[in-house]
Amino acid sequence: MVATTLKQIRSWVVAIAILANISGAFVLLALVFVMNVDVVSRNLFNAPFRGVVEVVIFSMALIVFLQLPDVVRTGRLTRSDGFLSLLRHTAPRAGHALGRILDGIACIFMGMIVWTVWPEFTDAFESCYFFVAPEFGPPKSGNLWVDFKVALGRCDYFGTPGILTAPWWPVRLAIAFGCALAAIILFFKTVLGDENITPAHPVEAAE
Amino acid sequence: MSPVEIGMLSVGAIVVLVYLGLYIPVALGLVSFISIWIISGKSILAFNFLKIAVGDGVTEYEFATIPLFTLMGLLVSKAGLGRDIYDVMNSAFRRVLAGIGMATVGANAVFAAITGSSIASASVFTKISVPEMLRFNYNKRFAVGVVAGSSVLGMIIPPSAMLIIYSFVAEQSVGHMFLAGIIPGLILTAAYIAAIFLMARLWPGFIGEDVRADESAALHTGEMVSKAWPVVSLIFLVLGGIYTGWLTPVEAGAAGATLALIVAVSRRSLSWQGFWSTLVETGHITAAILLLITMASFYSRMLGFAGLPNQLDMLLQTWDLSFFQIMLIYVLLMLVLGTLLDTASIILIVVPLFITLIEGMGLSMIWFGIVTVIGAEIGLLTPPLGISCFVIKSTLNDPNISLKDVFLGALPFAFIMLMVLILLIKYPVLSTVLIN
Repeated sequence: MVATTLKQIRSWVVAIAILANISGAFVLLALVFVMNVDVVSRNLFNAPFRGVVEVVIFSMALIVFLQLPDVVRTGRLTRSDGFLSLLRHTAPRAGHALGRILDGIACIFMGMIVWTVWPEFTDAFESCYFFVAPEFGPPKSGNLWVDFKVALGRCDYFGTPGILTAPWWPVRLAIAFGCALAAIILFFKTVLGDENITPAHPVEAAE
Repeated sequence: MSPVEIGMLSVGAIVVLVYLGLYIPVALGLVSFISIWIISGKSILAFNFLKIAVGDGVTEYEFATIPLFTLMGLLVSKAGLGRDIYDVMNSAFRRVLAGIGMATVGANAVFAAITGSSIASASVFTKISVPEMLRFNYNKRFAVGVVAGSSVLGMIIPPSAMLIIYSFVAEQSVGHMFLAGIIPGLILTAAYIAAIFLMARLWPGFIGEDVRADESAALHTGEMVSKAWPVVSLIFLVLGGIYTGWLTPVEAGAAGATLALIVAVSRRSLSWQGFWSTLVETGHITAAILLLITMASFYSRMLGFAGLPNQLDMLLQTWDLSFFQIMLIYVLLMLVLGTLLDTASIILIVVPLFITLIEGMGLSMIWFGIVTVIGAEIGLLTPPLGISCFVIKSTLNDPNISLKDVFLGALPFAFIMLMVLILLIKYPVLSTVLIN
């Protein structure tokens, strides 16, 4: 009973991970496109695309943390599993038990990351004063769209003012979201066992 | 316990946990977290280190080289450029004794200049060259050994994932590391080809007793050009762009990926589905490598906090070791670790320990990177964790060729790598001459 409920929940989590993964792939495509626009326009039209460095950094954070849950799900997180796959082969029970323990440790570690980066997101988000009156600057006008744009200008930002700035909170949110989803998937791997046992080539992912 | 003792214990703990099969970023991060907690006695400090490592870990412009060059490499493999390079090389070497072996090495060297992965090289050339060599009566051990040995070139000749990883750990420019890899890569290529030339005459038992030459006609000039132009233009664009300073490494990666995409599409070797799976694959590899780098930076901060690199520096100074002795210890350490860990982990674990020492001795960090990458790569060819050999064995899927055959076949090539490594240690100028 509990197991079926858990499996049902897992299938939803997996769907979210795949969705996040697809979004990450689109960000990657956009990154390649933007870089090429910059190279071409700089060389042919002598008009560099200002702020490309900021765009690159922003999209890297999105690519990594949107795709992290799916990396965990498919068992592509870098590991050296020579010993583990040997154990799974010679003593399957011990091998699978060790695999679950290691996934449990990884789950706890991901949970710790979420614990420590979540306040970073809330701080960055609250710096915009989306919903409450700001401490300085013009008060809320009542027009939602105008207020939203003004609020975006208040956010903690990264980048260079005058060239390109972007609010921090979407990146912070992506980090917290990616690590949280990864922790949940690792939790299911610990409790229900691993659905995707990888073949014996540990660093394929890294190389 | 003193901080240094805790630091040393943590390095040992990481090696053990990674060997047991814990995810490498988790092992690096968790052990570093616990060590900082124990050393400082405060959990808040450990959490802050972790927060900084994760939050700021990916915000670096040059990190974008990883997805871009990965994408380029995957597209190039999908476009079947490996086969074309092999055909051109084979045509060039076809009259020479043991020519297919030399062609495999040459094709690997060229393929390495458009991909950054030994794994890609190993799987592509296992499918192309091994059946060819077996058809012409080559010894099976030589056939797989030459593919394993030359697959290592993928990691030395730029663009290379390992050079990128080193450049982040040691805070060197990716562009400089790429340029530094060119000459050592060519030396290793030449050493392999020379060794095959000699072995064919002095040790025919290894190559194959009655190797037949390929009697087929040479390629026409037209065929040569049509097979070679995509590869040549990719190399010209990427390495030429970086060398002349026209493109940053990130831009070179983007331009290279686009050109590879154009080539793949124009040859109709890429479906929408294939393109999509390539994008997803690239994202997976990027996320895995960047999490690894993020946690490695956390680990290296922990080491600094424990004061371990300084202690190691002082310890080796009190022993009054010569340059040669220190390098001997370093290479031996990497060879030993190479039997336990994969290349990326070795670089991430060992380099932060030695940076202070090497900088203190006034040695070039670029040269040290080349030495490190080649030293760690020897482990790709040696048992029990020779990843290249595993890939060849599983790609081949031939019951007549055992994993032992692959390892024994690769052994002479691992030895040649070691000789080249000694040469590069002795003459640092070989690695640094192209920079400036």
